[in-house]
Amino acid sequence: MIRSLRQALLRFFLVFTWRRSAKRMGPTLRRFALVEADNSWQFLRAAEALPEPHGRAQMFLHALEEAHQASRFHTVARSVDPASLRRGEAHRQALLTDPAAIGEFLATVEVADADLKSDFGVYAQASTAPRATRLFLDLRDAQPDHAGASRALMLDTLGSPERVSEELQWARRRRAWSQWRQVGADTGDRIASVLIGIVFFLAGPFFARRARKRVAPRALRAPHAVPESQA
Amino acid sequence: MRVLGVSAHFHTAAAALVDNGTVVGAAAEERFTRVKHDPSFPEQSIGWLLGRSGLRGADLDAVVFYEQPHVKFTRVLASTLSTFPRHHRSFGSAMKRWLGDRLWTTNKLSRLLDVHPDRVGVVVHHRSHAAQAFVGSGFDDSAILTLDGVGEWDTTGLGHGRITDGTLDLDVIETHRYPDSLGLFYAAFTTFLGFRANSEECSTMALATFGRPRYAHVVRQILKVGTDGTYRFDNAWFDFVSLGEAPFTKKLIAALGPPRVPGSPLPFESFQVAGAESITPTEDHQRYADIAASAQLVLEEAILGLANRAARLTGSSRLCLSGGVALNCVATARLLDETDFDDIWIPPDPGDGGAALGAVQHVLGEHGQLGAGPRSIGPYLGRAYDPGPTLAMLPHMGPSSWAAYRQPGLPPAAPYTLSVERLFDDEDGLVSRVVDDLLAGRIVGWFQGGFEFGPRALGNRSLLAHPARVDTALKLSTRVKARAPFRPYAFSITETDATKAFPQWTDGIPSMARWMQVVVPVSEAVHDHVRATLHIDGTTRPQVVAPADHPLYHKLLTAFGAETGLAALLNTSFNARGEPIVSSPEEALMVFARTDLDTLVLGDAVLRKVYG
Repeated sequence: MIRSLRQALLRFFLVFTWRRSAKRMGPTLRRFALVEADNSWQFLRAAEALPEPHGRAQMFLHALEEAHQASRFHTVARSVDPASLRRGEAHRQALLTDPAAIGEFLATVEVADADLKSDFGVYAQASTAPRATRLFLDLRDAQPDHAGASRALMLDTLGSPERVSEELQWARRRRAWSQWRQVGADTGDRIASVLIGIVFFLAGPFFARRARKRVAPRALRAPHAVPESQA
Repeated sequence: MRVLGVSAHFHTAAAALVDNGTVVGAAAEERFTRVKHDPSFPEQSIGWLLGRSGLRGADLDAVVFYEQPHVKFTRVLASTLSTFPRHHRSFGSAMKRWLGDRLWTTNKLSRLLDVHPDRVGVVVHHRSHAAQAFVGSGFDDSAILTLDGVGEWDTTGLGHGRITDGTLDLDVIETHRYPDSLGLFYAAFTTFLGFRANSEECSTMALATFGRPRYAHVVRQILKVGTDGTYRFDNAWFDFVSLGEAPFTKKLIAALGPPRVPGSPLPFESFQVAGAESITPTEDHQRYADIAASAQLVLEEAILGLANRAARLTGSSRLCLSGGVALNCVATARLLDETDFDDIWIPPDPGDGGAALGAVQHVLGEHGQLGAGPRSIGPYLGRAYDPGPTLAMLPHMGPSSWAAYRQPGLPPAAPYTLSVERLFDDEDGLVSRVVDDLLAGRIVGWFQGGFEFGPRALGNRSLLAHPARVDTALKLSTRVKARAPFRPYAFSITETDATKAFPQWTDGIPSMARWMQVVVPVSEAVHDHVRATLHIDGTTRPQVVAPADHPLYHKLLTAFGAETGLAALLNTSFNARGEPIVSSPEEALMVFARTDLDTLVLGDAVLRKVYG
């Protein structure tokens, strides 16, 4: 139900933003490229943490797949709005540091990935750029296979369907908690922005003149003679 | 004395550790996080360094940050307030960043490493750069120029360094202050030309070669260079507070025309294939190249002025350079010919990443601990990996499982199978196989030892190719690196053969040529040997390799030279577009799997795509 509600809100929101110009899709596509690139990085680090060759190879292939999806989002983002690529990337912290926690890692990534891709149908409907629409639909359609492969890998790693379900449940709880914390952080961030804005407009006029003086360019001590044609 | 140095928060964060005179290692955070020029706090680099040395935070005698956060904060505050009320959003985001995190960097270091706050210190940004440039040079006396974007308030520093009995005497004679910044000036033009500021300045430099400086009279009004070697920046043309977005004012657009849209085509090529149709640039494309040429020319004038001033004020016959602007190897090349310095040195990583090591060297210098270790360091300071586990996973996958994940936009790959050969201690066998592949026009990913500290690939994380084969270089640009065709390649060459390619070096090989820090004209006599690595003006940015620098790479170059008559190889960084240079064997394998890289050498193993 929460997912349906979220998708309805997203659909409503996208009508007002994406429909106005394909360029508006740039930042979202860029964000997806970053999420996929981060997933790829996580799998790569996981591969490096695993000593056992088969599991390592599986992680590496997952990393390849995620890198491929990141590149596709990146390419489409560049085609709709090259300026969107200038935005910075988030700091990366490896989820898997202890090979024993591989099950927890796989479940965390799987839950996050499924959550992200469940909305791709909504994005495809709202998209005004054919390349982006095709990409969203491709990934949405590939999701069942992808999820199947992830489950198989988890089963292979954890040994029983019960353990897989258990890890997935825990992963969903952790995700819900981290999303709740994110909402809190975002709210705090907005409140801070408003407060800082108020301080800026109240105190700014008193300090702006002094600040301008500090950053004002000074005269050149020994200027070249400027030819008349350039003066 | 055990000292850890850290740089972060502006451009390419890094960490470096020296343990009783031995450099344990130094690494940029981007090599671990895979975020290009990652400025975030280098936790992973620090973790690797401590793990490698076996030290805990409590074992460190000093932890040093490469600049003074509180002083820098006053500059950020003043620069955003000076534009009141225009940049209220920039002010908000800057205050959140600074009050929430950056201002408390030393506390964070103390907490994270469990080090007593008294042992955590800071070094002035330009002193970190100066120490980094001077200490690693091996000179005992030198003029020092630090050419940067901006540190706390200072943007450029001119100093004089001396080392006596391991003690550093660093006299900063004068500085230029924000906004008089050569780095920000060039970064702003880089943004105007549609490239990323603080990242793609090399594209501006490469584009400049295709233009004429017909806007130099405008640019000289923006950056005024005095007869005494000082300069002033007029900030009526640029707005540095919005450097990452659109840092130019209407005045600049009125004088130079509209800026280039990022990502729009630039039909210039650094090399031409015989018989291929050449593309004629439009008037607008030529305008961009001319603007780049003008900015480049004025930057060169400013650097020349500063260098000559440094010679006058210090009386020294040697010069050390650092700061991000020192990576402008076309500008620094002019110093070789147009100043009286006998020798000029630029460290392998002159940027902010390298300043982490500079901060350590500064602390050691203050305590009289500058022994031979911290004074004679090459670039191979990063993490080394055992390729064994990567090779062990190869039987569990292969080209058929990679095929679906090919880099988007590349033409379809020819079908191939994978051959894996491990040569263990047979260095000659390894070299001979690689030479055969290079002669056959194959592109080789060369992965050895610890990764380089700095932005250049210098024989440990390199993509190598036959330097005479333009077709191979084109394949490298279009099917591996997705690199703009106007950006030229460079070559590595042995010391012995460097005299054939650069007969102008009659007084010996300049220090700057050791780590690809200078652009120089190549003798026409060898043009046919290195055609694919020449820019349109017949120049290149060489790496002159001595046997002691990198024995295996030198051996490879020599063996290749025995076959072709010139011991030189096209050498470019081992990465895909928009990514940092690879660190681990898995990352190298990923580039191999997703692109048309033909051969991958992982330590003593050779992985080859066998086509057909």
